[in-house]
Amino acid sequence: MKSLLKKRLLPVVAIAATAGLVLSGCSAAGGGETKEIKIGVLATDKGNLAFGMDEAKAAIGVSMAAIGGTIDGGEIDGVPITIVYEGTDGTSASAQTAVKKLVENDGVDIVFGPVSGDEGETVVQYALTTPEVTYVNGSASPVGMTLAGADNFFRFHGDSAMWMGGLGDYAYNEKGYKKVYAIAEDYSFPYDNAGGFFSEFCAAGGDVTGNAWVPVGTTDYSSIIAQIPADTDAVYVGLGGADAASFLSQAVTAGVQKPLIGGTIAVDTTALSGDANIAEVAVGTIAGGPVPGPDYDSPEWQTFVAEYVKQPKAFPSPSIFSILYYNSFNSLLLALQEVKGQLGSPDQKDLRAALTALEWTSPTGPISLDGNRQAIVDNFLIEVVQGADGTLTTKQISQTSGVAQGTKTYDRFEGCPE
Amino acid sequence: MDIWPLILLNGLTLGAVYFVASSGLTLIFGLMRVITLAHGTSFLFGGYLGYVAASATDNWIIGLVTGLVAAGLLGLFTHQVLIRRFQDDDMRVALITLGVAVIGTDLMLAVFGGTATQVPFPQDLQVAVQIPGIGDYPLIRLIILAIAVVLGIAIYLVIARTRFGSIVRAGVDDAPMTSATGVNVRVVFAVIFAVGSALAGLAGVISGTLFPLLPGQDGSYLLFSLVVVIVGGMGSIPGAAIGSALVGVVSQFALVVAPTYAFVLTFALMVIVLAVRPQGIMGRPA
Repeated sequence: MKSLLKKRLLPVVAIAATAGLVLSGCSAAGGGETKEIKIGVLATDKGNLAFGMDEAKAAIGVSMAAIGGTIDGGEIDGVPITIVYEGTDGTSASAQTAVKKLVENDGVDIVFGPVSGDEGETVVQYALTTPEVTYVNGSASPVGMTLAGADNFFRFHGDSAMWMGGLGDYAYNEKGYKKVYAIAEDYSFPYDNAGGFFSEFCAAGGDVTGNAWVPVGTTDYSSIIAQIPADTDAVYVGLGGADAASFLSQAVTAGVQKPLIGGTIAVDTTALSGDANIAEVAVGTIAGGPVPGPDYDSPEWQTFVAEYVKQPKAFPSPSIFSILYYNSFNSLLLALQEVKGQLGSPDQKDLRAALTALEWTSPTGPISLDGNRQAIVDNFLIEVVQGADGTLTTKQISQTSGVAQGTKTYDRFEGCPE
Repeated sequence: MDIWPLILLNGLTLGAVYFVASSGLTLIFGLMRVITLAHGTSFLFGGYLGYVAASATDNWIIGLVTGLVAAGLLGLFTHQVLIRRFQDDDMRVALITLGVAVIGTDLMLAVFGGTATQVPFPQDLQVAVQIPGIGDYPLIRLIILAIAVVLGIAIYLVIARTRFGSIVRAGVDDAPMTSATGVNVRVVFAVIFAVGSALAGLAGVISGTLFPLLPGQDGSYLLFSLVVVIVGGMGSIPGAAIGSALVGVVSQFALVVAPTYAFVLTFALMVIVLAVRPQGIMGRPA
């Protein structure tokens, strides 16, 4: 009897639920005027990039303060904006759960994020299935994300291959490194990041003495360090967050004498400001990425840094994550201001047109989008130096303007990338 | 130079950290037949407080003791206040300790932030020593291996040679019967729970000295401890030692031979042991 009842009830419940979904969908898409904007933020609060959420909030705090709002929301031309946050651990699976929750349960109009590469690829795939929602990337940077054909997905910063532009030549010609050993995390971001470096380095004539692709979250690097061949001139460190901090401190205890070449997030402020004793190996490390050295003197940069350090839980200087989150979130806010808070219908077309046409001078230089909704940006090469007070900081080597995306994507590779 | 002896030693020193973490779990698991999912929380809590104490006093030993005591008190609190009444209901204990773990993870993230921290240890210990056949090796890893060995022998002797140890062993075999002979099993349970958590806290400080402490490690160390206990056999200290050494060595060799599959191979070890010897290497059939 009970099961019979269940059998009869189920279709009714299903139909009612479907009807409810359709109705709510209609009311959201059908109404011409936007009465409220809900932005869902994805950021990491667990795992090796657990500081991502604090950095995202710091960036959003700076951006929202400029329009009189807070990290929880504000108002543009009378349209209230609510911001909700969803934490992830940096993996595809958790990003998938979090983005679905934001879109399907919280009913957000715009998704902002995520932090990590694999998460970004997942979110892009999900974006393809939800064309009515607009996605603005946070800091995920695999090359392929903006080549996937999701025309509701926008990225206002460079990809990880673009970030390495110029570093391979510099390492080979200026630093004179002929043979490099590669240690990198085993996921999409380091593939492209290392791919960008090594394709240039190998083209210049350099050799790779080996590649160790280690799982994300590896804490014990002692055996990896032991494998670095003696005839290596330098070691490429494609690690980030806590993994980079682990590697650097163990490189000190293991007495690594080789100079290092950093992937974009290896010698970020998050690693350099930690309290581990890493100066011995970190000083002299060269790296490429979207973060200028602290001596960078653009007024937009100085303003941003001054506002950033006022945020709760801010690092001594902005990390790559807060900079990318700021540039991206501010792009979104500028576009929202452009359309006076009216997203347009169908499919938020006015907002998307404004995002596509947006051009502004960010703290790290001018930003505009190409035809794939991928930013054309400035890129920086830096070197780690020790300040007068012993703290580690970076010095800018060079700046390249108007770097555009290539179309080559990378996978895990042995030796030089193909 | 042949690197295999070095990797073996790396695996053993990593296993030392796993052993300290999992010896506590094997006592709790073996004696009380309950899974505490808050074991990783004790680990990270002890590690963070050890970090605070060691940084404030510039004394590594004080850091170790602080981590041990703090996690022990957390364990005692969890046991006395939250799970004592439901001790025979393993499902409830699992859920309550899961709750403690989830709340603990978020509170620690709020207090200690998301960046990696590392427990400071004396500059004098940050040196390499010569080991024949291996070459230079970081002294701190050997010290930690020594701590684990001494601790393991001490726990083994307490369990094997003392009256308290015999009560614990009796409890592992048959708790109701032990209770019937007049032993206040509840006090024994409370002590074991506190000691088990304290060992996890000590492991947190030790691990935080070698590797960074960061959110998410509570989960990964809970997982590694469970693997060690399952591989070694519930309630067996020698089992935990063998299990930790195996997990440590396998993960280090895997990292060198097939880094991409390092995690997979570690769990494959557990699968193989479960398939061949379901009670674990040193475990007795239930």
